[in-house]
Amino acid sequence: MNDKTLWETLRRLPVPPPDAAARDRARERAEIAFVNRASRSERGRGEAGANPWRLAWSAFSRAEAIGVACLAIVAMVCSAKYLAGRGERGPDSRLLAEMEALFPGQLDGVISSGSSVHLALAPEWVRSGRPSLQPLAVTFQRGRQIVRVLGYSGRKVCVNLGGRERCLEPLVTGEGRVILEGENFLWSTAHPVLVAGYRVEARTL
Amino acid sequence: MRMATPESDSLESGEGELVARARGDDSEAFRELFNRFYPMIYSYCYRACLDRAGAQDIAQETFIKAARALETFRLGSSFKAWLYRIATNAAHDWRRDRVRQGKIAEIPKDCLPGGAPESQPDYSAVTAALEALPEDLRLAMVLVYYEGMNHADAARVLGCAETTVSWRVFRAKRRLKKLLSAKEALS
Repeated sequence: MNDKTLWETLRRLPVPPPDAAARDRARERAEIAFVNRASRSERGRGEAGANPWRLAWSAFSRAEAIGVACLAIVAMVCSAKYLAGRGERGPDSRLLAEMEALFPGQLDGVISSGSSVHLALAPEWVRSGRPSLQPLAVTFQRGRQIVRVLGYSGRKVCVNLGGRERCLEPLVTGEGRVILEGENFLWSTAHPVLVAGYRVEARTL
Repeated sequence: MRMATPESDSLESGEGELVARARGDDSEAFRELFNRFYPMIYSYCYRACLDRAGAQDIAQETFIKAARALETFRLGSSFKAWLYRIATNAAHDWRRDRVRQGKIAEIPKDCLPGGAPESQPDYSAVTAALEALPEDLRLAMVLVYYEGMNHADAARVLGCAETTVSWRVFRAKRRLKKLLSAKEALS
């Protein structure tokens, strides 16, 4: 059998048309996912007329607004000092930046578990043309076991959780929150499901 | 064999504008994208899993994931190739679930139009031969032969090197020829 005969034989395989009900159901569910995504990004952009928080904010007087802003700045400074003191935020960003510099456009993530550190690298062909995306950190914790992933929004990484490999795609929403999409789960701060029995924390860097 | 590629297919005309509108929360644009690409993605999913219900599930999952992750799509690149990639991952997940449930060994009997495979030996032989291929070989074969992609585009969809696709297609063809020749000899 030559290539031409093989192709002619393979062409005999017909594709049964999809069930109309299944197609409609798929469209409906995709549209729900689309609307949920759209409403999230809309909230992120914040249309003052539709957003109750914005309405509440606009009701503040100028002096109250300045007071709240000052409090927010103090809280940010304190939390930055706290994080720096714990040695988390700065080193994570630096480590990711250093690794990205070593593997430009190719780094999917830095995965650390216990004392071992593993680099998740994309194949060679993606090296060029991949922009550096929003960096983020994800921590999986079960008891004393901690697995940390430093990665980027939209870049899939696979981690070993409880002896099994789990692949997930972290995504940063329009509001700057991180959601994790895996094969059988969707994690977000609003829906903090356990992943393979691990508690999850995720944040942007 | 179709020679279109994800970058050049005529289906993609106006695609960039539609995607941009969808990212701007235009639900009509998203619906248009769904209507435009669902048949293509469903066909790909069917050939990837050889199961009608499975293909419907995978195609649905593909568009749900695409809707959720629309912000991550890089404008200017091929939306079609992006969808193929999501569908490939969804097909992989589907297959893994089936393996876990112990259902993957069965060759689907209900996926062929017009009756049981016994009455359509050509279909059943091709189905059985494709089903006998490991997933990575079959996906490479489906993308290159049925979807008409070149090896470089298929590599982008599968997330591997172009040479890997070439090697997989070579091995798939060798195995398919052997399987289908044996079937022809028997009949």
